Amino acid sequence: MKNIRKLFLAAVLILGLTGSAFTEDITIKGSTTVYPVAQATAEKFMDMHPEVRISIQGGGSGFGIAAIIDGTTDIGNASRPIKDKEIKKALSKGIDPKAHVVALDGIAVVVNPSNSVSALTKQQIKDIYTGKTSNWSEIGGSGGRIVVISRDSASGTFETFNKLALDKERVRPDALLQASNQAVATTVTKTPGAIGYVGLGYLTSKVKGVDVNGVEASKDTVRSGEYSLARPLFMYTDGPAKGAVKKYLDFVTSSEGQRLAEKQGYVGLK
Amino acid sequence: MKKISQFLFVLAFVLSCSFFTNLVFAGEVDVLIDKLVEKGILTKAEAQQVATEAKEEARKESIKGSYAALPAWVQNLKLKGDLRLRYQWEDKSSATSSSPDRHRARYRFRLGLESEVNDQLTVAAGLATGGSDSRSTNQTMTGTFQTPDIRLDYAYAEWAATPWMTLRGGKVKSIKKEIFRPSDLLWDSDIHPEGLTIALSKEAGKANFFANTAFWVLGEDGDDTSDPVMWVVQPGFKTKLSDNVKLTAAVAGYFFDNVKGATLDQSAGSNTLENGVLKYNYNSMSPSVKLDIKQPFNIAVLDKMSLFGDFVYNPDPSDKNQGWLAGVKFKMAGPLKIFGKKWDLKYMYRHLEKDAWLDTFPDSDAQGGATDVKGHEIAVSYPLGKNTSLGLDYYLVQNIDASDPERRHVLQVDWKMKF
Repeated sequence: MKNIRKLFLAAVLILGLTGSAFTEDITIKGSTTVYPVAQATAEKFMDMHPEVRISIQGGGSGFGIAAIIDGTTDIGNASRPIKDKEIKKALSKGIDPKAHVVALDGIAVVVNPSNSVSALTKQQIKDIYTGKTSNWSEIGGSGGRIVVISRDSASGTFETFNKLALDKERVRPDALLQASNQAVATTVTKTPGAIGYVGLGYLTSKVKGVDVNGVEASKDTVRSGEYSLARPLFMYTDGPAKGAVKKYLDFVTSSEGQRLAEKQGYVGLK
Repeated sequence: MKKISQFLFVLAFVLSCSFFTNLVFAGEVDVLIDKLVEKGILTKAEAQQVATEAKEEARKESIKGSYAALPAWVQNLKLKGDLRLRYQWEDKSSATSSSPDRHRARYRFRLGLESEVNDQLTVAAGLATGGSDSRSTNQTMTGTFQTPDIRLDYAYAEWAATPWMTLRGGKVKSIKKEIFRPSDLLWDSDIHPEGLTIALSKEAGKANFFANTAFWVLGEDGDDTSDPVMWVVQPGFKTKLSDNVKLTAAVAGYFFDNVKGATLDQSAGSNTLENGVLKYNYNSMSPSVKLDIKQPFNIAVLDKMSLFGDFVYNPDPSDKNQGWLAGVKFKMAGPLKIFGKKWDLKYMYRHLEKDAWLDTFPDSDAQGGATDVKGHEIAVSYPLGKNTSLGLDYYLVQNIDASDPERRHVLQVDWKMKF
């Protein structure tokens, strides 16, 4: 039994020690909004640099920033700025969060394609999401209960929408919470009376984007600053980026990286 | 390079402005950036990027300044704790005997401190209510307002030796942190082992491979050298099978020295004895698995589902040497939310034979922590607010092989608060 035990221990230690691979690994975690930008740029970057291996995980902006604070990721994606209390927590752990803006995005308000409503004011959106308006007939629609779809509280999209559209008021308790942009888009596609909000990159023909305060959610209106529900997208690092992480971030903000971000439906910086 | 120098210029300006008022700072930066856009040096999108990054940096520097004003020991110190108020009802009966129902009001208070010695070394210690029982920190309300004991709950040092290797020594904070265990079939969650743990972890693609190894001391006798100790080796992995599905699996090998032929403190008295000492060895293999699925089956009432199981096999005895537990946990959402809040529902069935595992370690709420137990557990947890929740836990368990099997109902109603 003692020999078996020694063999077992040796095997486990070897398993751990041989993990030190020759390739450079970059781990990216966080916002599902930033995920498509990270994925498209990472694929191209790995083609250009076969010695670098990038793994990407979603989970929401809160998760991405928490992973930077915990030191469990190289890059934390976020679709909202880091909060003051997160900065304090990071500093208490010796982490120095550094923001890198990698693209711009608009939050598109979407309804089912069968819905006759094509424009809403910010006040109408706020009334729907805070529970003051519950039927489409109250805002010029053809009637029927409004099924409100929102994002979970770990989501940066939720936090930005909550700040920009709802003035930080609470979302109605009967709202159906979804964990990703794609889940919101899919639910709105399948539910005739639904309203939701997604990053611009998730605006497809399967959902209908509505104008907000008379402005369409588009790359041009976000770039010009006309569209009010717009935001920067971030990748956070611990201190200034170095080595392979710096090379990757430089690529993301390069013309080629920004072209890939645009291809995913976001607004490039170049 | 041109963009970098522009950014550094703007940042330097922003930081110098930040010494004055935020109003001046925001206005002046915007004017400066607008000028750069007007002159065609920056596009509107680039201007947004530079302005946002500069303002974020200034905000961070401002917070850093106020944070740095705190003494170093305060910056490095974390204080946390929790209080649980519990009502517990128990009913025990067998074919030949029955005990009166027992009603207990109980509480548990824990207070912990954690401090960073340096970037790689952390020291933590905690105090808790309860007596010397390693499997419970509850204090029953009794003794005409007696003043209960506070004891050392844990005290350990953690050294993050490399990004993939962490060592912990002392009386560790939680068995959950030491080994992967999706249920309390083998380990009561209140057990805080004493000894040394080495945890290895390595990311490889979408998977994280880990290996938990430990040497834990079970007893020490000054009169001889045959002190009971145990070794644990648990290789495993966790991986994402898709965006919504996560799998964690591991196999633990438990190896004991000087346990056969001895008696152990904290025993529930259910293992087989011969001449008053343990008859068998308990070197065991124990695979564990957990599958987490977000939004399973796309039905609105389920936000998350977890399927989990534990198994244990002890090859020394020829029978009554296996144990298993299967469970499922749901996070209820959509129309099933209560007052707009998601809540958890968990069900487990356990079957732990007499000599499958040492009777010093299993969940103390299931048949008093003994082996030779089978039965059901159902638990509900509802968040009352931030850092506070209400929990209900019901056990219906009975002996597997006893000549006069005892059947036990236990209901616990908990109000938990963390701070």
